[in-house]
Amino acid sequence: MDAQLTVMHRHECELCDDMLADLERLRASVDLPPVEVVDVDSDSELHRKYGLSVPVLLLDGTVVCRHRLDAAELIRLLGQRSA
Amino acid sequence: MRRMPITRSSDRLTWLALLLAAAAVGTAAAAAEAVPANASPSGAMPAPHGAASGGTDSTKPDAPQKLLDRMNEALTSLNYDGVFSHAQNGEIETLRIIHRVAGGKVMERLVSLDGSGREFIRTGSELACYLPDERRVLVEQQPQKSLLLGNLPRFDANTRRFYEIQMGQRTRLIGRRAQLVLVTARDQYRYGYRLWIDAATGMPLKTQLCDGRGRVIEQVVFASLETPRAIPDSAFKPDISTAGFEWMRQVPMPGNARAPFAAWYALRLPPGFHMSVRTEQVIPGAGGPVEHIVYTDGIASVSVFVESHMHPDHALSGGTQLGSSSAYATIVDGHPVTAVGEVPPVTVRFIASSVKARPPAH
Repeated sequence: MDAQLTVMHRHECELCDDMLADLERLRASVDLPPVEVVDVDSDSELHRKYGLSVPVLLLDGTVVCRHRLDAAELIRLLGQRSA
Repeated sequence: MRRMPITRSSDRLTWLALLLAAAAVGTAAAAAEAVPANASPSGAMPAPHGAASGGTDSTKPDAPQKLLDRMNEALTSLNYDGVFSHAQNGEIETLRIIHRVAGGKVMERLVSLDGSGREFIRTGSELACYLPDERRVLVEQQPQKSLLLGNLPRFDANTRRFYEIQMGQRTRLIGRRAQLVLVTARDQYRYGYRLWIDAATGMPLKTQLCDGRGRVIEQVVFASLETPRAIPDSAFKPDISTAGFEWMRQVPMPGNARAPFAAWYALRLPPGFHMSVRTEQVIPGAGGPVEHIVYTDGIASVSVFVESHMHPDHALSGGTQLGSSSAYATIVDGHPVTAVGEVPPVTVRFIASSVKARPPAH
């Protein structure tokens, strides 16, 4: 199954936009899965789960990091997945 | 916008960081003094939970001042729980702030989410600083008005002589309607602010401290913000275990203590500044009591510390920056004098260089 990255995002959220920009910068040097952007406020369950932690990066549904991109952790988890 | 220095300072600047923490106490008191007489008492809710903008008409000349009043009221009286980024000097830190007013008692918790694990928990006037990287907990007394999120500008007729206040654009931030308010300094002795204020709650969703050229010196931006009706007590417990930590309590000065050295004052001050607070403090690492004098223009504050003894570790001399704060140190009649504040370097240099000992009364 192909890997999937998801960013729990909020409209007009600078930290969220920073994480998306950091992911795109990382993509220049690392082969990253596609990124799906989900509006955390579009669903009450998502809001309850992630509303206070945005942005949240998930790899196949598992939290990689919150608030800011942890590139080292993402690369480690991608390596584990492909091993 | 000063808040407790939550990030770890370099050893060289540890003393200055301690002065900054002490300054936060004094400048909060100065901010409390600057509250307009007609402001609502703390504890009164500014607007019902989730209410609309409160009817502030942005075309009226006093509209930006009303918005600032509403913002300060929201900061002190609302329950809120949010995560924000704090950027200064090219460094970004993510923090969570929780603030609750219940039964007239204020509780606050500020947590670093970026690894240091440092937490600040305020219960009424007591502030506990949990420093897991130092395996220490510092407990000190703080004025009731002090906010862990930082104090933001309040305006009265006097401060308008030194700052211009204008409405900016309406915009949206984190899914909310926000109104920009621009606070511009009229001279080189103080910084300005840009404040994006939430139309629904009055909370500042984004704040910038700016120098005279409009460059951003410090920025706070919320990524999430909720204003719940109630916040449980469990939200004010530290995440870290304090087993084996050293607890250090601030030693209050005896009420009848007399200054063991001459009273100090600034012979000259930048326009608009006046003395608001004079106290004597015990600061860890100081060889004796430290005289603390706060000068304010009603918005910006400068703390002046005069030590009773020379101490080799405090041999700061000249100007330096710590985050958004400027500091200037000098020696006056054998006493180390340090002026520190969220103001341009020229202001702390002006004030520190003007400090003199008052001649003893005969």
